[in-house]
Amino acid sequence: MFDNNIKILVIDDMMTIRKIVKKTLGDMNYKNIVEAVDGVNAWDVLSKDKSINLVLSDWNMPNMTGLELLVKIRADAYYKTIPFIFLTAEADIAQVKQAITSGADNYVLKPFSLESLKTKMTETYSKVKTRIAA
Amino acid sequence: MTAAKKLPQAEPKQFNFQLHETVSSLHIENCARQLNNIPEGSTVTFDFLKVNSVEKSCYSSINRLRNLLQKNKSFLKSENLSKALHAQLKTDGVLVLFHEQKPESKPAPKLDVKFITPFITGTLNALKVQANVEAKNKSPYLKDHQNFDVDIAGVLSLVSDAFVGSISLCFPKMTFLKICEGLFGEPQAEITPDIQDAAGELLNMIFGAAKAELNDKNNYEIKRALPTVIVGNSLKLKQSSGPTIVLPFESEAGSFHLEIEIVDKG
Repeated sequence: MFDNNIKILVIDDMMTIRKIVKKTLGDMNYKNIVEAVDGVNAWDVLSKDKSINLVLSDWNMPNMTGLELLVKIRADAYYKTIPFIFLTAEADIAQVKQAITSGADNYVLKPFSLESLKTKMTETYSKVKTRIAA
Repeated sequence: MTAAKKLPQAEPKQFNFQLHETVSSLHIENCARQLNNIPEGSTVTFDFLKVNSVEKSCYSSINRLRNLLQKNKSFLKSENLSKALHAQLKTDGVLVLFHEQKPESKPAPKLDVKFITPFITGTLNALKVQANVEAKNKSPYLKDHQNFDVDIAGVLSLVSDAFVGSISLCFPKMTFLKICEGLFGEPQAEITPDIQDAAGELLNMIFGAAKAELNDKNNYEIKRALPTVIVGNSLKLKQSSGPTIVLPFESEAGSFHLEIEIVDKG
């Protein structure tokens, strides 16, 4: 599983979800959290802070969607291998497929429980640990 | 002399090409080289998701490819065109080369069990999983200028090719505060700006689940939407011309309801 000291970027236009995600991560002992309100804000945060280790992002946001942000991240020389998990209410099969083919490492559907988020983060870690160690 | 047996025709296929950041004529020619002898009636899709720019020099290559496909009764489609690229290709007269399949015009769905059930299950699930609140749905009914005790509502527009409408998730103050207590893990005394968007987020979850089911099973092609939140004392949500169904719920946090309105674009 991801080390408890990692820095996690939580991106959602709804303050409610950022609060809930932050609390849930806190219950899992992840305390090093930064927030962004949409893809544009997130890109700004990533550009200025090179110590982020994991991105948890909503899909449907104003200004820049989570998908558009993902494409930008995967094209970036520094952050292209960063683990990226969608945390979204968008449950259409076609969208899930699109997320994965665009480079997302995992997909958590809202509503979510601590258990479901923990399971997905564990899965993601198993998948990406070789990539992030390199 | 026996008649020659007609060989069975190959089934049409789908060919998807994820285009590069910069689309050049060489790139298009490379794609075209992979499309020799494709079955009649096939579809070739260019995915523009990762594209930042399209060189004008590739327009003639796209035109050549489109003409070849047309001779084969096959189609060239585009996907994930950004607004800027869409505008560029339209201005340069290239957008018309991509086949725009008009969706079959479907009638608007009826506000029947098949349509409303995903919203009911989405609501019960969202409250249970995210807020740890058990709720039960009561019998739905058509809205007819009833007065409801609504102090906060999440609202979003329903948009599909065949219909438009709206969904409103409506709460009295005390019910909303109790649900927020379940969401955040601590009691809430007032509906403050910090917690208001919970009404929008809960609706977002309900809509996401219902949309997926309605689109995947019934092909309604309901589009994504961003919710807004209305806050006030004793709100009266305006009833418009379309029929509106009320889905009432009872819960350990109190009562609340969902309103769904559909108008046929016809």
